[in-house]
Amino acid sequence: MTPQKSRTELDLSSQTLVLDNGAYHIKAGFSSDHPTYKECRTFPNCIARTRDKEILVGSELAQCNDYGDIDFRRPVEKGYIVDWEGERAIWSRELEKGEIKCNPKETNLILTEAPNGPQALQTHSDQMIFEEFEFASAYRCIAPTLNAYNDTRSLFGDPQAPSLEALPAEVLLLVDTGYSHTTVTPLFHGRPAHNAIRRLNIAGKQISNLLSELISLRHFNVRDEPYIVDEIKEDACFVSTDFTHDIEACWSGNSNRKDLDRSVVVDYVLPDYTNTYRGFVRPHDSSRAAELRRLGLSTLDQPKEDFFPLGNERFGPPELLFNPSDVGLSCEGVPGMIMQSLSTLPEALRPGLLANIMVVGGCSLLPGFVERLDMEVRKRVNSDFVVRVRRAEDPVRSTWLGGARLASNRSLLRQHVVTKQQYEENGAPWTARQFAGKRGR
Amino acid sequence: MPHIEELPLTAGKAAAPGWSYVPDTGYDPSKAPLNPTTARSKRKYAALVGGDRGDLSLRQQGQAQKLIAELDDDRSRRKIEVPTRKSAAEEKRGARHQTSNVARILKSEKTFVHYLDDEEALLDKQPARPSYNDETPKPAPRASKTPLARRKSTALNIESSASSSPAPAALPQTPMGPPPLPHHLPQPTSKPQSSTSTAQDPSPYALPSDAELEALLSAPPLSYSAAQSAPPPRTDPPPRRFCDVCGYWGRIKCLSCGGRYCGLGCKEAHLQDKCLRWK
Repeated sequence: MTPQKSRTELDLSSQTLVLDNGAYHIKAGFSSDHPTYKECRTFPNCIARTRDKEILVGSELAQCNDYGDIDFRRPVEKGYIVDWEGERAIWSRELEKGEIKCNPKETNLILTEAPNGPQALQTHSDQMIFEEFEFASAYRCIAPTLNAYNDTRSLFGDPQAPSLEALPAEVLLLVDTGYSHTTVTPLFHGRPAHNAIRRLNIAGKQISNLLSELISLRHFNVRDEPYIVDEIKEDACFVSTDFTHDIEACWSGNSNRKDLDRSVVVDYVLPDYTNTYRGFVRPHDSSRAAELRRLGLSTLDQPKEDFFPLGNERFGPPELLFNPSDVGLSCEGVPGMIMQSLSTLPEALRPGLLANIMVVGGCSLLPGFVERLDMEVRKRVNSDFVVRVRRAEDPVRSTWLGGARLASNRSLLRQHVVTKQQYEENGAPWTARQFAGKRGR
Repeated sequence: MPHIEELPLTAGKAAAPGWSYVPDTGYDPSKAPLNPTTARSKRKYAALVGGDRGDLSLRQQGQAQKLIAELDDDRSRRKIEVPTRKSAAEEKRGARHQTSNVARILKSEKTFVHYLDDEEALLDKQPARPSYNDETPKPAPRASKTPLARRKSTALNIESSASSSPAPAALPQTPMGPPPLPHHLPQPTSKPQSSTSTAQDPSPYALPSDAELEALLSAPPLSYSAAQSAPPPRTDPPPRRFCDVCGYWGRIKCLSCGGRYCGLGCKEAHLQDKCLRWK
């Protein structure tokens, strides 16, 4: 029996596929010597059935013109891959003729997953990677750890490190708000402090759903059109830094006589799919004529358009990130979660983490999120502490870029991956322990 | 005169225990108002006693749970057929043998809730998650499912590892006395120094040693429910309520159903559409 090769002798293939498997979008691409955001391909992680019963897998969704009456099948549930039949179809399609064409047998894989998942699901992932797709080697990690390999020094305005190697950041507190949930992860040299990871089940999906409910109850039934609601969220929603002021601005008074504040209240015009294919925002028109037009009672000969005012629907759903108790969820919001996370760590480590808070994830693109988080965290700590909250340059693809930078450094990559041969020799539980970071083999 | 007699409904006296369970509302007769006529005095007493945040009845709790479940719904239809067209690469390879693991995973129709339940059942059976260190896991009490921040014996009180569940027990067992100070640092009672601290600058608290940091980082991950954000502390203000109709502050509570509205205009809308008084 040949002795097992030591880590340094592992012969890794030259190509590495970095796959950030999100619940909404997959961010995937091949690593290179100097990876940039351009090499990252983003496509939906779903199988869709259109109105005409046509099935579109993954990136084929871009071909669809009519999003009305469309059904989705999402293999990722609450951040974890549960439906492997669907996920396999999406991956196979992309690997064979889609955005990330390659032969898995000659490729290394870096796969991300959400923290604190059931171990059975982790084992399933390993089995699928090695037994079904047969990747040459793989590294499955939790998504926050990859962000430590990004250029955090320039993000926070620190002086550059002497060598330009992709070394993991020494200390980083990562706030990841994606689609399914928001997590807070303290990282030291790229390794997470597991006891301090916290999760809040409020993120893009819940905000969209609440927005959809509010609009449907008050103005226009959009419950069957999640795509349009996502567009409304991206166009009109924001995180309020002064909630009391904004909510006053949206109130029309006891007898509807007070004028609404135009800086907060806007009108949203829905697409009619003949002239316009995308909705847009315009300043609120509070005249009586506009009111009649909205209700469809106008006698003037004007082109019919569907529009409705958006007041506290703009900042009410995003407020859930900071006050989940607004809908009755008895959890603390993101700032409270950061404090909970810090309270489990030794006191000496807390100043470093507070000074290096990095925000990633699509939901952080909401205007005002970073400012509000900064304000709330400062309120909760002593004024002696330095608090720096920065959003990554491209929050959606930041995790992917971290993975690509890790993969570009071959010696670092060798320390983390498990080859297919090792998986077959040692089995799935051993592989899971390797991925969890057990040092020394 | 006709004989009139009251017939007993039960044969003989039913075996009544002479005691019964009552909900513990924390009734304190010394602090309770003597004649609580107004709702205000009742509320003041309820706030004094503590109770469960005061104002969420069982029906309202059910409504809140329903809303949260609706928010979590991503309307994913698992029934959508996966296209089974054979790609050119597969045809080239020929019929490939699928391992039993893969076949089982692909066929399985379990949802996330199933996996979560399985995991919690497993945690109940065996006390600790397998530790990733080389030593055998210490026999520890049953793993608790309460979020760590909610437990009374959190990692702040590192010594009490016996009473807490295995996850905090894996933390470094640092002594609770004043931390050992490098000689050039000020006394621990003074505030932290300059405001330009990075991770390398000295702080009055000693940085954990390499071994302690290693122990912190190689602790096993928490379970799904333990990692959830804990409820807000009792000292926080009560949850904010909004008008059900328009979204402004819900200052007025409907007397019949408990729904909130903000003023006369929304009151009419509430009574017409939303009020549950006849349900």
